Amino acid sequence: MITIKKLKKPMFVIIVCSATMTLFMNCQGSIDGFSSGSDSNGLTTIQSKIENQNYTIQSSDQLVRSMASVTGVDYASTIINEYNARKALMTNDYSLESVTAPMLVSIANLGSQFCNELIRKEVALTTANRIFFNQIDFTKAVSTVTDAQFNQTLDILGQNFWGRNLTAEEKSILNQGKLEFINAIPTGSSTSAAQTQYLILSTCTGMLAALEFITL
Amino acid sequence: MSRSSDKKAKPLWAEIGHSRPVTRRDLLATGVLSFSASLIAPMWLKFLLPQAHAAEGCVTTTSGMIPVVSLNLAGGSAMAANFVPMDQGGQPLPSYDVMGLGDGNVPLEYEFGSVPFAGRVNDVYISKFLQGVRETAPTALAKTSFVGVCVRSRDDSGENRFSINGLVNAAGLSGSLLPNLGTRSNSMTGINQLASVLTPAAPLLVGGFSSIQGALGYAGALGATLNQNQKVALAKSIQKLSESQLRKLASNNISGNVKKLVDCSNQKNLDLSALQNTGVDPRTDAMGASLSSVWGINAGTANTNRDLVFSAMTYNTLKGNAGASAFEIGGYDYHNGTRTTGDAADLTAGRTVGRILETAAIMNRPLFLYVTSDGAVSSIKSNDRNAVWNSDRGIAGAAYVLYFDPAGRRATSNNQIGHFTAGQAAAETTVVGNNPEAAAISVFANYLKLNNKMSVFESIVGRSFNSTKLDEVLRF
Repeated sequence: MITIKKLKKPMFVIIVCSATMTLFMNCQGSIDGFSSGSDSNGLTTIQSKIENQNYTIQSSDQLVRSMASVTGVDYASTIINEYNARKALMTNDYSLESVTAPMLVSIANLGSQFCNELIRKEVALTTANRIFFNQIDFTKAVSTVTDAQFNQTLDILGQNFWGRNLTAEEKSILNQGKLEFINAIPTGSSTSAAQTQYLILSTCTGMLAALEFITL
Repeated sequence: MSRSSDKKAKPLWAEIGHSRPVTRRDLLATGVLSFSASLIAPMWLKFLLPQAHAAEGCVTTTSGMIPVVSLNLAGGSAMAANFVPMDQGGQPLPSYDVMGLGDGNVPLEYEFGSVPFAGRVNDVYISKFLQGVRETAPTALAKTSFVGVCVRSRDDSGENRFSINGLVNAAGLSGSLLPNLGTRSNSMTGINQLASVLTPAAPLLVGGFSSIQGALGYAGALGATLNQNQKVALAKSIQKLSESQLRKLASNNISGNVKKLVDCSNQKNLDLSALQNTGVDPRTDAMGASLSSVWGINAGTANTNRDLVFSAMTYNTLKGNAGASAFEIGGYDYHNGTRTTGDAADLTAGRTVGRILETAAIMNRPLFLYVTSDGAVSSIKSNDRNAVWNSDRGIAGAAYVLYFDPAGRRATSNNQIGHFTAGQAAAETTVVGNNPEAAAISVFANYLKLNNKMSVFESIVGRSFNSTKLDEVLRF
């Protein structure tokens, strides 16, 4: 039987590697512009905090690294600027006790910059060479995005961001979000291809800001 | 199989050679880690109730602690030449002739009850700080207490451990919407002072009013692309996704409390998506006209205007939206061979302090205001009451504690902590005299006393202060 004690060692390894939600990140050194995520009491304290809670929220440092890892985009200046502007609003003590509404908004804002860069990166590729958005034609109006294409995109995002496909309920929520998004398009802009990009930006951001991603 | 279809089947983590993500949640789901909905409920309670604009039946929580504002006069202000420090027996020093006040017969004026300040010569204030406070806090003064702290500090240095923000946070002061606020970048305290004992969480840097406003709304890549209704749609999606994921985690044992919290989160979601008016702008408050008048601001005031920034920080701290606020004003290394530069800076400090106090009076909220500097100044040796400032002199340093109580001025047992010596310097023999960190702890002890929370003092500060030391520094 595996016990908490047996998990301590791997958990510590996770922490040392700037633990993120997923374990697939490389163990890497400091990234220019970002703090180590360690507090003045060192990793022991952080480890203790994490092990003493069923759930923890990713710190600002972990979030930015996690988002970079799952999207595969570089730290563009827009991302760094957003991070610097928002990091004070995110937790750095891993505690759910410190979660606030502005923190969630800030995480969404940070996520939006990663998604924006991801879209920019993928739009520059041919459809066949895209990893995330090979179902989406960004040159056409949002009304041309079929439910099947949208749902397939959700699964790709789900696999990459959450490590799994979406549940039926999650897909339903995001499809409802898509519908509301489209209904909110101003008259005269419904045929704009830009709205397709904005829909994907919104969807991608929503998945990076969801509970599944931001907690450990 | 084509490359594109390969990519469809493989997520990025597989593409780049990593194994499938294993999350803490995976471990919980497989029973490797235990899960108890009842145990996590308190944590989720806060998550689902971020305290902003709670719906009917949903609890809105504020810390209940007295709001704290710190003002740092960066550079080494002549604080002990405005407030006039006394000797150990409470008597004037034989002379203040290197403190810019002349001989020992300084004309005094009393404010905040019986606190001595450098008074007037030919009807002109010697203490421009006092002049400024009186100009801008006409109603708050009568309900404000003042204690001068006689403490030496390093000149022109960011290494004095004067900040109490980590301590007051540990005692329970927090904002319902925003963290601590500060005005200095690359500083954990928000000002050019180190933290005493405990380092606070990084403050939200307020470079302009938009820093506060922007912290509460969708911006980033969303700001210019999504319209308001699309932002609402996004907020709903995020909330519903999180709600669904929470339900899945707690599916077998969801309590009534959790259910209620989930319901409350729906309201929170609407709040999140309707962040056009979050109640952080003092100008749009019901008392906005009065607050604007105190600070000299209006709807057209520039975003980075200092008075707008300070008013917004004060307002949000007093309202409980933000934790402790820390402002900084530069220009206090003013020993340039004149008195005029220093007088102008001291007048600014006094006016700022007065406006902060008056804001508390208008809002009918208690306020703990802490004024610090780094070092102090020396005048040429002169009996002139307005001798020019000509060098740094941190041994003649001081800090101020002001407490506004809407119910009326709180009595103090003495109006100074520590004392000055005949050598015109803060006495090193006192608890606070030669140690900014000890001075900060003393200030914090008084803060706790005002909050009736002395019981947590030792658990936060440790045992560096015994009861004898506390007796020496407690004034409230």
